[in-house]
Amino acid sequence: MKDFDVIIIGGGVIGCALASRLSSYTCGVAVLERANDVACGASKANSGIVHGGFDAKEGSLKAKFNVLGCAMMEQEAKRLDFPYRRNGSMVLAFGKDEESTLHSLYERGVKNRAQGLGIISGDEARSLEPGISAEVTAALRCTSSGITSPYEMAVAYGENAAQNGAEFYFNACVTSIERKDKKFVVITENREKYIARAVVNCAGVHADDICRAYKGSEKMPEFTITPRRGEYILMDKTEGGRTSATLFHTPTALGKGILVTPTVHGNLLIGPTADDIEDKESAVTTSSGGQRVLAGAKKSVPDIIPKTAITRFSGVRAHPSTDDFIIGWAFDGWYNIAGIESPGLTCAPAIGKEAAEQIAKDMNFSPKEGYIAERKGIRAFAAMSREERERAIAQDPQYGSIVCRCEQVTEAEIVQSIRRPLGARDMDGVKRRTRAGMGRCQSGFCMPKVAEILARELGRDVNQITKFGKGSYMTEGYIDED
Amino acid sequence: MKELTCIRCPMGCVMNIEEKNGEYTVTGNTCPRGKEYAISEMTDPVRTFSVSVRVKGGDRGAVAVRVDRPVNKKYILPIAKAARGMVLTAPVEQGQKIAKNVAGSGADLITLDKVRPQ
Amino acid sequence: MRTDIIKAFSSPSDGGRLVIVGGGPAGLAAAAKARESGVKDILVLERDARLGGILNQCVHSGFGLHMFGEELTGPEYASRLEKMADGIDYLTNTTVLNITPSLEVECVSREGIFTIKADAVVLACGCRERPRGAIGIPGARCSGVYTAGTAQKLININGVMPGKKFFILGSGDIGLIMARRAVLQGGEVLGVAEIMPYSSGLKRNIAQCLDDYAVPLMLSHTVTDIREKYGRLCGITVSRVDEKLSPVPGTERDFECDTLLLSVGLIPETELLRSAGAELDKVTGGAVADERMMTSVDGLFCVGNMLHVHDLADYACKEAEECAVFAAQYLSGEKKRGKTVRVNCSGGVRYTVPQLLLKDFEGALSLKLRVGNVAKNVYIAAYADGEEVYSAFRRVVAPGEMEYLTLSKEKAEKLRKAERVEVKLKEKR
Repeated sequence: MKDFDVIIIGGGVIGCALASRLSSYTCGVAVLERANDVACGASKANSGIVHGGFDAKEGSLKAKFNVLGCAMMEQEAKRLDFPYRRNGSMVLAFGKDEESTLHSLYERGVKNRAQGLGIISGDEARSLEPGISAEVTAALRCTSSGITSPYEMAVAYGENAAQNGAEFYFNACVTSIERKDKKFVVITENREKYIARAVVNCAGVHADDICRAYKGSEKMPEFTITPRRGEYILMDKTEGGRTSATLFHTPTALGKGILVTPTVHGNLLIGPTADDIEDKESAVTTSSGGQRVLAGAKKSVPDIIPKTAITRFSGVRAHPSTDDFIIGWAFDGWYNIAGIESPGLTCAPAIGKEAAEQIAKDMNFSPKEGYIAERKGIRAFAAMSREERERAIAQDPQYGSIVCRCEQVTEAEIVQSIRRPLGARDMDGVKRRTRAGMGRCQSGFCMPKVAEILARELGRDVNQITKFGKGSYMTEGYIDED
Repeated sequence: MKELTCIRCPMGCVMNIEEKNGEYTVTGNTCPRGKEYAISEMTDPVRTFSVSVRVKGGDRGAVAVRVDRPVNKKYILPIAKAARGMVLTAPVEQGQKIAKNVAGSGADLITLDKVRPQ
Repeated sequence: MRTDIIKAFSSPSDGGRLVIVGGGPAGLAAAAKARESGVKDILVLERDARLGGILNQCVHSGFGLHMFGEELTGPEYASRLEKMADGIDYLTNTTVLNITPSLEVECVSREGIFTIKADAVVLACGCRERPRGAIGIPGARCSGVYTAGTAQKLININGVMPGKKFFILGSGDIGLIMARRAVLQGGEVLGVAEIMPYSSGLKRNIAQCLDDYAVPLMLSHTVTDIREKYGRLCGITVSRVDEKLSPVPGTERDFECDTLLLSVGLIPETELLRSAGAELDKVTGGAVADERMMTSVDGLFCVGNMLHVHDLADYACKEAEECAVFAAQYLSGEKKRGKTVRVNCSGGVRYTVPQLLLKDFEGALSLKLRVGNVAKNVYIAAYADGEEVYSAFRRVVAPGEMEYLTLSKEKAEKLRKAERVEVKLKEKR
């Protein structure tokens, strides 16, 4: 039985950001993640937007952490080496009614202390973004908003935490939590037990289930999490230039609408839908979802070409019954960070920092000597200059061997992604860390080679390699096995 | 009368074949190979085909083999099954005979490619 | 040896250097023919560990009738082509990163980064398969969905089975071929669904890959759901589609399988064309080329499936050989473009290759084209400034089968001299 000071349940971007911050203190931290890797839930399938902070209701935790997180993001991206670009955003208004909503958003933004806001005319909007519709009559511009890569951000935080001694346990699905004396005993599906003085519930869409899994008598705050599915379509890099800013619809009673945004890697991303569903695991894509995403995106940018789509995906967001984040001690030893839906990604750095500070203070942790604040990512061949490439290959010839031709990912990067702390253990893990398989052929060419490298590095048979753990095997056996 | 698609070349002519007193009349073919194929389909339908065989210790995990002569269709699955029961060890040369009279078909299995040791 | 080649080609040329990108069938055929046509300074660049390209994994027969007059399997065909190109310098495990408009070819290999200044480049990088995302099949995002070509590589090169119980979407040739391959490797194939009312594969492949093994072909059907268990595909739903290709509610049929193979179209590789700034054809997805298969960039030629997707490797090779002769002429002669006239496609013709005719070109014209829909008893007609100069009767035309037209010198002349050239289908009166 392993004994820790703090057990974090959930290895999404929130759990990882918290683990990273907590690992700067003298305390034993464990992260229990039910999937085979970090960032496997909503953290891997969202818009990747760093919001300016004008959307959330004033006074809410969403508003507070959004503005804080947005302000921290550039520094965090530098410190932990994950992609971030301040590309600005525009909320597009189509007609008078929506224009008046823009004005209330602007005022809310000012109250929230969001930075870089301004309302511009339709023509001004089009002069900034020639691709947008002629029907746009006005726009709320926000120059402080940006884009990031959500899963790379989560991996960065996770690796930094691991670097500083936090322990990660995968395929560790928590089924019950008991109280024994002053401590918590956390039990997983595979009957492993983990002990800690405190539990932090960062279980995303399952946060309410984790509260229910607690067998003690203390009272939990009352909330439920509704799984809300958002579908996306990712377009080819040839389409990445259709807009430089992130384009939102004006929110209406029907929802927030569909956004169109470039990604930090140069693709175009459109989505999401917002469908409340029953099954928390149902990250499927649907035909109606795809149609709604395309129709919504074309409303903003009419020239979007559907056939340039390279993949579709969906994420299940954790919509809280309280409509706001649930953050704080539920009772002595149990800390909830629940209901982290949009703008949760933007908030993650600020939530992680503030929660860690509070937990450290209340549990009397002191700053750790030798804490490593910085983390370096994998050096991507595709992003190197010629001189850098020459040097990299001279040091490691595997940098001269291109495995993923679409994204120009080399064998060296794939090997590193597996060998690093918190290394990739499956195809999707390699993909999120290196972009191998993210391109226009969607791993058609590189899949056999990546599986081979994974098998070699992990010392496993190639038929044991999975897409994302569990039974998601890539192949079924050798051809001589009948 | 029976309709057939010729498989002798990528043109895929659609032909009709009719039997009268042991004599076959073929229509729709573009070349003599088509007629020959149509008649063989009625009397002794034959195929050539390839199967992959596992290779250990090579720079790749499989090599394809083919039957060295056309075999009656009824032998296809037994031959394929026999091939799946084999494992070769690198090096493998192109044109190597790896099995004789496989599954009693009269045909041998010939490798299509070489595999170098890893 | 490798380092010697890299060193030799990193130094300036004497003006007659041809770099061929891609060592598959088209690249090898181009290399052999270029040498035969007098080019001395030739280098073939191949990103894979060996020459032969996709042929190495195409273990079925059906190759070579037009090139060698006999039917060969892919690996045997590759060996023949390699023999033809024997002695020509090549580098495997070498990826071209970028080509500039002035034909500087930037390469990477384990030896490092190096740039080769070419005087002409033939691009023969082939094509890629359309993935699931391109057609937006709904359902679970699980393992067990592969393009047919990836499955082919797994089985024939890596020696592993992608699954045991297959369903195949799309009746392109690779899909049909893989149906038979899966059966012969001990798998079960539940069916092949094709969204169109006709197959896009060769008729003989339907006969010898599906009919022989009693694999049903479901025309006007598509996959409308994918289900998973523990992360692996465990079943799919297939629905009939209407004339607009939309699934018809109530026609759903569930299949329990562990693997879905996709054979839903091929798209030319375009990265290097884009890097050089060559004009692309929105319909073929490949380059816009003239009668020499030269792109809008001087000295940059493009052939095979990278120019437009062919029905047979043989045809890609023939095209590459024609191109190599022109590339040789280009290298030895005056390196100028010449004026062109564009071929406009309408009335059922989707595209032609070449897209551009050369005003001062002489000799017969070979025109390749594809139609948008199946049509019966039609003429394919070519017009010079509105006047019909050529027509060819076809009992049937289909999108899956490329049409090859050869126009005599006189007729070609009329088209080349015209202000406006049109190619379209004409009904039989």
